[in-house]
Amino acid sequence: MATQTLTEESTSRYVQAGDIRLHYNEAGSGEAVVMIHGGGPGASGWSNFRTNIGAFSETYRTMLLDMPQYGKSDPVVIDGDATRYNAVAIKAMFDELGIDKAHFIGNSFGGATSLRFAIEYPERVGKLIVMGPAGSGPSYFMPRPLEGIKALNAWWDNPSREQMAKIVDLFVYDEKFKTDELIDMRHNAGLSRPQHIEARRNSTNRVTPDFTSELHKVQAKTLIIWGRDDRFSPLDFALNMLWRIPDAQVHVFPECGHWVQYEKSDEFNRLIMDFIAND
Amino acid sequence: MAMALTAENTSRYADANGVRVHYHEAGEGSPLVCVAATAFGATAWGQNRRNLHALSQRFRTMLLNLPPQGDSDKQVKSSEPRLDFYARVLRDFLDALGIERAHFYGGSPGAGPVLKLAALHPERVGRIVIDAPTGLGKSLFNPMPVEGAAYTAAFGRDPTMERLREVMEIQISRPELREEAIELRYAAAHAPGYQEARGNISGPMEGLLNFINRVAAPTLIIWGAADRDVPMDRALAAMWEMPNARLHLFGAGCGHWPQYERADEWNRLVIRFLTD
Repeated sequence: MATQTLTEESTSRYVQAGDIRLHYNEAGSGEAVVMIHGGGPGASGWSNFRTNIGAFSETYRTMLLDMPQYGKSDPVVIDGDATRYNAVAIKAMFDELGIDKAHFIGNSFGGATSLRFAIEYPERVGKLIVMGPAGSGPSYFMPRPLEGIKALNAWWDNPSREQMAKIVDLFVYDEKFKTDELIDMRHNAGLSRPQHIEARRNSTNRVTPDFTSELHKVQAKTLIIWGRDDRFSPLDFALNMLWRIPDAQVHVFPECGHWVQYEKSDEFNRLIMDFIAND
Repeated sequence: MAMALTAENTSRYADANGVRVHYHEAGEGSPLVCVAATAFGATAWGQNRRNLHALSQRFRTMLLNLPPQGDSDKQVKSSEPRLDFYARVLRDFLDALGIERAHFYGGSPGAGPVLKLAALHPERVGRIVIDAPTGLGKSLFNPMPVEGAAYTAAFGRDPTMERLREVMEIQISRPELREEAIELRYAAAHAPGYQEARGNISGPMEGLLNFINRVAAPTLIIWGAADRDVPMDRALAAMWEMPNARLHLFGAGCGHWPQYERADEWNRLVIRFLTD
């Protein structure tokens, strides 16, 4: 089966979601699968999931969302818990596009957003897949903030290519992914929208929620994915979630950091598509 | 129309360099050898009968009883290091069937022999799946002996139906799945000649952490988080020690028998991993 060549441009879409305009990339038809990127400078749906949209779009209506304050979505100021803000925006987007239900795949802070959506709007969620999600409070074994988070915060305070190189070194495990191209891409993407950096700086009282007391409300069948070598979100969070989400499984990839769907894209795509397709 | 697979119609015997190996076989294609636990009364059919049909759609699947389990050799004796002995039986089994190389699955004490074979003869082993292996050392969190291990030891000393029920109530959380497992294990524990043969393979057991860092084969470690027989934190120890091991944990109350309690999902997970 020939895979169509998908580009960011050819898949680029906008939608009005309540008061804000959201950008997303879309390919394929069928049941909806939404992919939600993580935090960090330069993050966007396309940059996080460009090695996954090809495989998924052969079977699913695959949508790579740019969260508010990221990518080509609006640079809104968000106070407090951004996962709640994001969940409301995604619901507005679904209502606008007539999407009744979607499978969710969320990376890092996007995993936290996906968990919030699944708790607030369970009837709008099929399967739930989260990779290295934030949202479990303190780790049992790794002091906070983790070294990857410290590196990210240092870039937000004082953006430099040198700092982005440090982030990339911590972010992925395999040396072959630590390329100048990736460093430049993330650093330049982070700088390219100063209004997003501004909006983030103006978003005071930013909190990462602790879902621990609410995870029992997640009705969706859930697959919790982790890179063994994740230096941004602690591996033991996977166990916290496994014991609290009623129908959950964990899958840990070896020699893999905080970007599982990229470092292990083939194995990831097959595992997740199988999880979504079967009960 | 395909005939249903039964213990009888899948039963086979191989001569593994003088050691009789009783196994069950179904399916065609790449060979997959599933090594059953060597626990008291455990058998290949008892352990993997809910997996054989699905696996046999994609693989030439063999469910194997290491001596003296099932109807395997009750005469052979060995006091050499136990994993070395079992690895040799597995290699000799492959030779007897003319199999160059196979994928392997090992459950609980059946995992050690598979890993030892992979360490000693990597050219004979493709991909590996292991389920809650014993022999991975002390738990970081569970006092030893863990709850289930104590009941299993009690059954070993006093193999009554009552003691077996106590073991299986810990191991299998769904009552409707438990009865047949109890019947099969009780019958195997009381099969003619079995209890007398239990001491035949008596050599020292090597800890798996001694050598699994040398097992380069792509490996899938599976565990039920609610396992009361082999503590789940050992899964993480194995994952970190092995060069290429991914870990899959089943939640939602799954204990020591994921291949049995979560058979449909387990089958799909294993088939997908072995065909990756």
